[in-house]
Amino acid sequence: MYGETEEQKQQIKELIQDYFRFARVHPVFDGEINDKVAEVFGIMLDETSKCSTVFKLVPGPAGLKPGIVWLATQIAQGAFRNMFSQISVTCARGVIFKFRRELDMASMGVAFLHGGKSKWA
Amino acid sequence: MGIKIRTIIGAQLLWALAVNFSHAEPVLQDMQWPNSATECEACLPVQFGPLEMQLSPSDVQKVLVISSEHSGLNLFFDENQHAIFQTVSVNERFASYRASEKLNCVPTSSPIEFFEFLGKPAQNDSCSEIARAVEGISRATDYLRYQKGSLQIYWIKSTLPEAQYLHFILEDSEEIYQLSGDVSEDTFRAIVGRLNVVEIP
Repeated sequence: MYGETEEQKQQIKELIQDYFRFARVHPVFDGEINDKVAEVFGIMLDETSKCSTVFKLVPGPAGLKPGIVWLATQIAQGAFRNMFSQISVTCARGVIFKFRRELDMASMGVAFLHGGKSKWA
Repeated sequence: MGIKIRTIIGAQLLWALAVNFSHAEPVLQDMQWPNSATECEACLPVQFGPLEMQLSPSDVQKVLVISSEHSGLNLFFDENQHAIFQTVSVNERFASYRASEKLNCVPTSSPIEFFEFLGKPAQNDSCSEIARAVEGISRATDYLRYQKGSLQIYWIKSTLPEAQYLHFILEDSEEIYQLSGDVSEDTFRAIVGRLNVVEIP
């Protein structure tokens, strides 16, 4: 965990919460933000964009460790500026229902997707 | 003045007790398999895996399948009410539990054993507390089980209408079927009351 700031964590949390609200899934995520949460959420966004058949929302980490700094960089570069007008609510809901558990587990620091295998690998 | 102070203290104690006991975590309750409330008028069989439902236009406005890995079978009851059937393999469902030392108290040899474990009263250990939190049991109002033949349904019920999670478990199946989203009692009766387990043609 290098160079991440509380501001970056807050930005990611707000994006996750906006995504939950967009998908009308409650309760809205309210856990701690860490690298694993950022990675899981990046995967969720990727799956949502594939389902919605829009161009790839989230470029792969490409040399950066998938985590807070990587996702915060995407946010700062405006990668998600128009996201909610492009993705499907139905798709977002499906992805959240599928990945909610992993997101919560990552936030609690108890487990990670499918026993630890990164989907970006 | 003395009576007034005692009344205030008493009220505060009652409030503190109410807060502490206002939400006892649910334990698993057995429920009777529902009968469909209405006759099946112009029903269409809609099958998700081996689960065949008989749905009428008055039950469901639209059925949507998106060609995507995680999309499942979407049921739209009206323009605002939506639930989705999804499937996950048993191994995938339990992979995170099996890989985590902090969750090693959770049985993962069978889905039924897993869902039964979640329904036991909260133990005084972090492992079961975490499992119940992750699965939504700790914030649920009820945790209900329905059984018919080889099929069991575990309903993690929320006060939020849009936050229902139902897990359909078939004996000896390597798949778990999850219904999530807006599931009211009427919707549940319509879906489950006329549900049969059938072969995939």
